[in-house]
Amino acid sequence: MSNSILERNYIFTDVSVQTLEKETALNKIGELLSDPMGLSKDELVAGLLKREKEGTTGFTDGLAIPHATISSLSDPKVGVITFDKPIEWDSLDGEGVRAAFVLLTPENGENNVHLKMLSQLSRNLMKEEFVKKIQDNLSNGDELFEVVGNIINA
Amino acid sequence: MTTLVGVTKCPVGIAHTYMAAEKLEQAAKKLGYDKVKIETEGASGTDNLLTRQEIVDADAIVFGADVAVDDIERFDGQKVVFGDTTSAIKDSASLIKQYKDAPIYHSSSKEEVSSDSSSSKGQQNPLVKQLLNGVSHMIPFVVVGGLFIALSIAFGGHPTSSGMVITKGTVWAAMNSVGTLGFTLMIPILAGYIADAIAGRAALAPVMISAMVSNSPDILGTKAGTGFLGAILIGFLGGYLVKWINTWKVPKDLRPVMPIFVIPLLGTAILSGAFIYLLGGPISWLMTALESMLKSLSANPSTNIILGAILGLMVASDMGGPINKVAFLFGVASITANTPQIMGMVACSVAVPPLTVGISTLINKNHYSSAERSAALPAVLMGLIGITEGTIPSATANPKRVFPSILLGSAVASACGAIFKITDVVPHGGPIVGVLGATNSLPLFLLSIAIGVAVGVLTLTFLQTRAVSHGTAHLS
Repeated sequence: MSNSILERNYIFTDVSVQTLEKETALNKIGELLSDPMGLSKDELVAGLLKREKEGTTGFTDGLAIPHATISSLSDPKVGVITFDKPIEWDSLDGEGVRAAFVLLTPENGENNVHLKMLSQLSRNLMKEEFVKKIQDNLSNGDELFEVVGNIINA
Repeated sequence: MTTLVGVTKCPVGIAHTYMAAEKLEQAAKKLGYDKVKIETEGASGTDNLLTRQEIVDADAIVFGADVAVDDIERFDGQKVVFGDTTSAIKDSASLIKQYKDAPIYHSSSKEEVSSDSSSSKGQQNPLVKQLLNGVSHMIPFVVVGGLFIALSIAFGGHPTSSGMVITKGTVWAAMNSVGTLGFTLMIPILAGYIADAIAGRAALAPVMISAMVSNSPDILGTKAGTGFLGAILIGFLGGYLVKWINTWKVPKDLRPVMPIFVIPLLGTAILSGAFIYLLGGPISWLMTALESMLKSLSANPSTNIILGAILGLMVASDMGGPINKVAFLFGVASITANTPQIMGMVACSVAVPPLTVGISTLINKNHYSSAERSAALPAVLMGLIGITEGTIPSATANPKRVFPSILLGSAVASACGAIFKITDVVPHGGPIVGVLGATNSLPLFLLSIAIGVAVGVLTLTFLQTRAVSHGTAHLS
C-alpha cells in the first residue's frame, strides 16, 4: 500500500466487462482496485453503488466519476479505468462511459490538502483540452498516468 | 464591469461541486461577465467565500447546489437562480440566463415576521432597508445606554443648579459613565450600519469615525454635534461614497489594500473634512439665529404661549442635535437670569417624545415592528427621566408618522407649561425633576406633560393605524 493518491498500478485500460451496465462495471472496478489499493472489495463496491443510487456520476463526453467514502483511508485515492466498449451509465448527456475516474475519500476531509487535489481533477474534467487528452489516450495507461498525475500528484 | 457570483455544493463535496463551479465560470466568461467568483462548499472546506458586499454588488447570482447553501441569509433581498449541480454541469449557460427572470430571495426568518403585511416587501425601498439596518443595530446601544443613565439618575441623582448631579465615587456615578459611553456609541453604530447595508464592511471605519466627529462639538467648533440626523446623513453619504469608490478601475495588485487602506483613509478624510469645514460654520450660524429668535420672543411676555410651542417643537425636532440644544441651553440660561419659566417650558416637553412613542407602541403592539416593540419600554423609562434620545430608534425607523406626533405633542406640552407658568430651577427635564421638587407645582407640571403625551399618542396611533390599514407601514 502506497502513500500517494495516484499510482501507476491504479490505472487499468481497455477493461472488458460481461454486460455493458453500470453495476457490472462498478463490480469490476472494485475487483481491480481493491488489491493494489489494499482495500476490501466489498466495502469499495458497496460504497460506489450507494453513491450511484443518490444520482448518477456519469456526466458528459463519455466520462464518469464514481466515488465513495472509505472509513479505513486517511488520504484520498484515485483510480482510472477505461473500458473497451461504452458502458450504459445513465449519463447527463446520455452517452456511454469510456473512462471512469474513481475517487475514494477518507471520512473527515476538512482542510485535507489532498482532497483539494481531487477538486482540481474535477475542475479539469470540465475543460475541453483535458478531456481531449483523456479521450486520445484511452488505451495508453502511461500517458493517462502522466496527464492525471500532473494534476493529482502535483 | 459586470460580475457574476455563485455557490456550488453537492452532498459529498468531492466532484460535482467543482465540476459545476468550473462550468459556471466558463459559461459566465463566454456570456461576457468580466468577473466571476464561484464559492465552492466542498468536503475540504469552503473556497472563494462570498461576502455580503460581493453579493449585493453582483450583476447576477447563480447557485448550482443540491443541498442548502451555508449562511444563505447573505443572499437576502437579492435575485438568485436556484440551480442544482446537474443543470450547472449540463447547461450552465441557460442556467445563467434565467437570472433575468429569477425571483428575489428572502431568508425565511425575515419572511415570518412580515407575513401579515408584506405584499410590497419585495419592492421595499432600498433607502428604508438601509436605514432600518442602522436602527436595528443601534437599538441595543440605546437600551443599555438609556437605561443605565436613567436608573443612575433616578436612584443616585440630586437636583442642583447645574443639572442632575450624581455623587462621585458611588456605584450610580459608575453606572452613569457606562451608560453615557453606550449612548455615545449609538451615533457611530447608526451611521456605520446604514453604510454597511449600502457598501459593506469597508464603509464601517470611515463612516463610524466621521459620525463620532459629527457628534463632537469640540472638533466641529460648534456648541453642539449634529446628533442622530447628522449620523443618518453621514451613513448615507459615506455608504454611497464607498460604493462609488468600489466601482473605480483599480490595478489588480492594489485591490487587496483598497478595503484596508485606501477606502478607510480616503473616506474618513472626505467625510470628516466635509463635516468640519463645510457644516461646522452653518451649524453655528443656525444655532445663533435660533437663539436670537428665542431672545426676541421671550422679551415680550404676551407671546409666552408661542414661545412655549416653539421651544417644544425645537426639543422634539432633532433630539440631542443642535436645534434641541439651543432650546435646552436657552432654558438653562433662564435659570441664572432668574426667569425659570422658560426652563419650565423646556422641562415639560423633554419627556413627551419618548413617552409618546413608548406608550403608543405598548398599547397597540401589533401595529409596530419588532424593532420598535423592543425599544418601547426603555423609551418610557427614559421619558420619565427626561432623556429625549430614547425616541431615536422609533423616529429613525418610522419618521413620517413619529415626527408629526412628537412635534405636536411636545409643542402642546410646552405651551401648557407656559399657560400654567411652570418654573424649573434644575437644568434637566421630564417627570423626575418635578418629583424631586425642582418645579413650582408638581400636579400642573405632570398635567402639562400628560396633555402633551395624550396629544402625541392620539396623533401617532391615528397615523399608524391608517398606515397599517393602507399597507404602507414596514412592520418587518
